[in-house]
Amino acid sequence: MKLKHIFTIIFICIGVYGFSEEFTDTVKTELVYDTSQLKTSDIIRVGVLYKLKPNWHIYWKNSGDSGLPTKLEYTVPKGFKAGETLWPLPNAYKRDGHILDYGYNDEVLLWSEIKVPKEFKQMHLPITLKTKWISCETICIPGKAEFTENLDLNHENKLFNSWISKLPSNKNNNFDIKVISNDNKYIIIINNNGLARNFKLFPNPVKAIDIVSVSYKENGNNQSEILFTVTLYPGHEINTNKINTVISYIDKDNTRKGFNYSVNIDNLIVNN
Amino acid sequence: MKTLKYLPVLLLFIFAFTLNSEAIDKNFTLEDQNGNKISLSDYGDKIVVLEWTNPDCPFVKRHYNEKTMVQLAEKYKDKDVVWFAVNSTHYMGNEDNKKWSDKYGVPYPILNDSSGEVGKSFGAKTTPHMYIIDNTEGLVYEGGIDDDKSGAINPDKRSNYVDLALTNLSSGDTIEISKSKPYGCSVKYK
Repeated sequence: MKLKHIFTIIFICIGVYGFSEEFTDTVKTELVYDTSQLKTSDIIRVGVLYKLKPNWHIYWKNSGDSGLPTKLEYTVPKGFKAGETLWPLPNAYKRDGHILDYGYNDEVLLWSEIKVPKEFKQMHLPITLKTKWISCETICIPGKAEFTENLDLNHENKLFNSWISKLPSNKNNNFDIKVISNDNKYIIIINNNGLARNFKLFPNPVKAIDIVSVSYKENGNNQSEILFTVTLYPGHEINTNKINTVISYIDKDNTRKGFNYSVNIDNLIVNN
Repeated sequence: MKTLKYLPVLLLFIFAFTLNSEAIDKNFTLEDQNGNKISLSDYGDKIVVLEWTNPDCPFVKRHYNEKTMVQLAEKYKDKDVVWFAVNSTHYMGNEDNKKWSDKYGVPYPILNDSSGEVGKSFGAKTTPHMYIIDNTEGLVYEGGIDDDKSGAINPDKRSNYVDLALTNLSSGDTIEISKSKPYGCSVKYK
């Protein structure tokens, strides 16, 4: 079956986000999916490809100091299970006033893996996928799109391959990493072995905790340092002793890669 | 000898500075939408609420459509609370602030900080970003207006941190939540 492309001109509506109506063409969206993994597994990949106007960006799962994380919501038949959104390595956007945001510009594919129950023998899967975002440049414009599709379960889309390579790995590529801390100030020291540079930190969202004043240092001894301060917000229970982050870097082939990294915060000082 | 003559004055200045340094450090004079000059130091006997705003920001628009700030300002106006909106958007001026004020019937001054100097001195990052300055304790709250950045929660069920802090101050209680993560659009400095 011929692949159906849905291009949606995005407009802002009064919806769950409660924003006023406006029209924007800063983001175009397309439902994309790949079911070729069904040959060897029980998952399919379904997501949204966002194409942005130059100089505009949408946000990562932690939008940073401002903005709003991009959201995807799946409605699937009973017995199916949509996993968490998969986020390729984000970019950092610095603004005057020490404002730091995390997100994507130009183009990004966000998707989930959907588990198909063994007993499902049909060749088509009805699905609804809703997405909401805020796109920003000089101003910010909220947007949303909704797709209702009957997915062909015999459909390959190789687009996913290039985006899978942009997901953070669960291994740190054998970098030797240590963390030192003092009075809510932390330094992640990475021995890069001369094989990587330009390390950047992207903290996962945590309600009670914020990572601020992030800075970077390259030492002469093949060491990279990521320095930051942890701010605690009162009134929220801190039920974790780790901050999960993504660390990106440029490898010796000038390819951007990244890995998930947890920072132990056992010694955090709670200031109210 | 001349230095000794002025020493008491110098010591007094240093004492006053360290006693309430936050309030003095952050003093400013800005124009409101009608061209009137407003100085923070003129309100030293009041509780001052500063609300960073930007009429172009969808988060601000949502709150003004819901009358979040306007209703809160009205609620506390007879309780020694003065409310100022501050617009540090570099491309906006008094006229933009006046249009906004007229459109939404804003009962408090909107101060023109298009240079961004005051916003940066406070560390304002988002619109909205809220600050409450008490006349005796200095800065007692900074952060978001509430806990609902996406506007998904019923307004009656949101935790409005500014309302909570003003209630604490009015009743002489300790501020329960003195800090929260602000949310909104980034302040559009130059």
